[in-house]
Amino acid sequence: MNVGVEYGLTEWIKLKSKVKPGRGAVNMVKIHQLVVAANLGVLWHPKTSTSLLNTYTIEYRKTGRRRMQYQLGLGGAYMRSFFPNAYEVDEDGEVYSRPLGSAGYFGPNHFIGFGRYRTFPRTFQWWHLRIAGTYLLDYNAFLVPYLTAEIRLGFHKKPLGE
Amino acid sequence: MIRNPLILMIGALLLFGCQKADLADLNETIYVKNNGADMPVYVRGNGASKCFVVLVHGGPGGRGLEYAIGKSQEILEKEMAFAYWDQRGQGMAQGHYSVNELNVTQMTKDLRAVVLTMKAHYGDEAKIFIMGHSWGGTLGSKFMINVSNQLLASGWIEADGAHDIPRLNVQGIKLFKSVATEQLALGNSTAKWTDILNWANGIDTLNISYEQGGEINEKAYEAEELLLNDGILANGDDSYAPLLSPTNMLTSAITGNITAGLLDPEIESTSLTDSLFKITVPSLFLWGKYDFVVAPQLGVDAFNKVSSIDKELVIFQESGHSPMVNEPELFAQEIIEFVERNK
Repeated sequence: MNVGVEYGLTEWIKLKSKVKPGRGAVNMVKIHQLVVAANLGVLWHPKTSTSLLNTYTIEYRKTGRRRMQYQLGLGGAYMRSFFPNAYEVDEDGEVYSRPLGSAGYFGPNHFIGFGRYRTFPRTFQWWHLRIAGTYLLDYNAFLVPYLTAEIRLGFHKKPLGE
Repeated sequence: MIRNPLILMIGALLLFGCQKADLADLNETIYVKNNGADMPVYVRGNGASKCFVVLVHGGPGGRGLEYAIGKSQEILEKEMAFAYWDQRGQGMAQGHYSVNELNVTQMTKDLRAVVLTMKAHYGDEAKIFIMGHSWGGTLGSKFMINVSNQLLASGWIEADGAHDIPRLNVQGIKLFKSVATEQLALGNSTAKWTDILNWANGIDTLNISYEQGGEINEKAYEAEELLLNDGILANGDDSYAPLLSPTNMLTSAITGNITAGLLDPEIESTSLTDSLFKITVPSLFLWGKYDFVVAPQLGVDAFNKVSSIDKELVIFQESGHSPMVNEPELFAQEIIEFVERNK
């Protein structure tokens, strides 16, 4: 199991919304959004490779009653693994040190998640739990799924209900 | 604002991964790139001894670090260092190559690359021993029958190694029959041993199919379980891999299964018994008396065939396919004595 951290930029388009004002707050009943995002993350373990994971996704997000949010998305990913103490051995048996030894993989990815949107414009505006699967192509001699479980926190001041 | 901390963090993580190791208590990872594969070698234990045992894991589909846990390794790593290698297409090995480059010959070249890298990293004075378990015995044997490879190794340890798959199937059936008869006479798990005996009697040992080979492997673990429950096998070790192991279990299981599926047709016909005479380096054969996967007769064959002057066969009386699990202290002691003698 590797731990990691990811930073992402998102932009969204509101497809449809039905907003009902609440008691001193904006009480959102139903909002449908399309969200595009670019993420860059790092996955790390002290005794194995360090990987940079770059994903570009498009997501359908629905905000329902009690501000619960559900999401479903797909996109593309690029992962680059960096190896500690890397060496390369050529056909003649010569060993070369490769200080920046690495390997990169492209692949499609998809995810599913849920979370909650918080009322009022504020810095910490939502939290989501997400399970994502990335299918790394040409990994070894085949394709390998790479699963990540993510806790995502949204920081922005653009309110959904306006 | 965020960019700088992220770059700093990546730099720090990479730097942390490259820290200089304490030789007497090694715990570092080396990556070996060979013909498209990037393979991790987890080196642990007493590197100051300058004795390194390259562990060739079983499977195919296994991983190096599954051998790094347990009492035997606790004892052994105090005396020497172990290099737990994830073979091509298994464990956390990665890289880019074609299916055609996934075969026993290529993997033997990978093992040579690992040994050469160990020498480059730890110095030419490092004494390298090769230890293969189960499928690792196939690779270890294939590696050792090459004279130029023998020049790199101070010794060969084969622990229940599968150097002859067609023969191990035949010998496995013989062992099933004899142990089942013995256990029935003792009145142990009679219903299950009767089933096993009937099944073994139904196998034509002159014509064992690929599917039956898989069946023998499955029944072997079933039989070991019975012997363990009836107190015939020692229950020496019940250690589990730590949650934060470098091995991602899902990735390892998926890549390992695919690799095993691709290698199986080639492995099923691999027979190296007739080439073992080429081996002259000191050799130690460690076998479980109740190993139905690779019957002890294969250990006897290997002991008789190799041309080594220093050779030894040890049959563990209360062990199955993995004596390092059943009788860890005895297993470790045999390896320590062998390495001491030949370093």
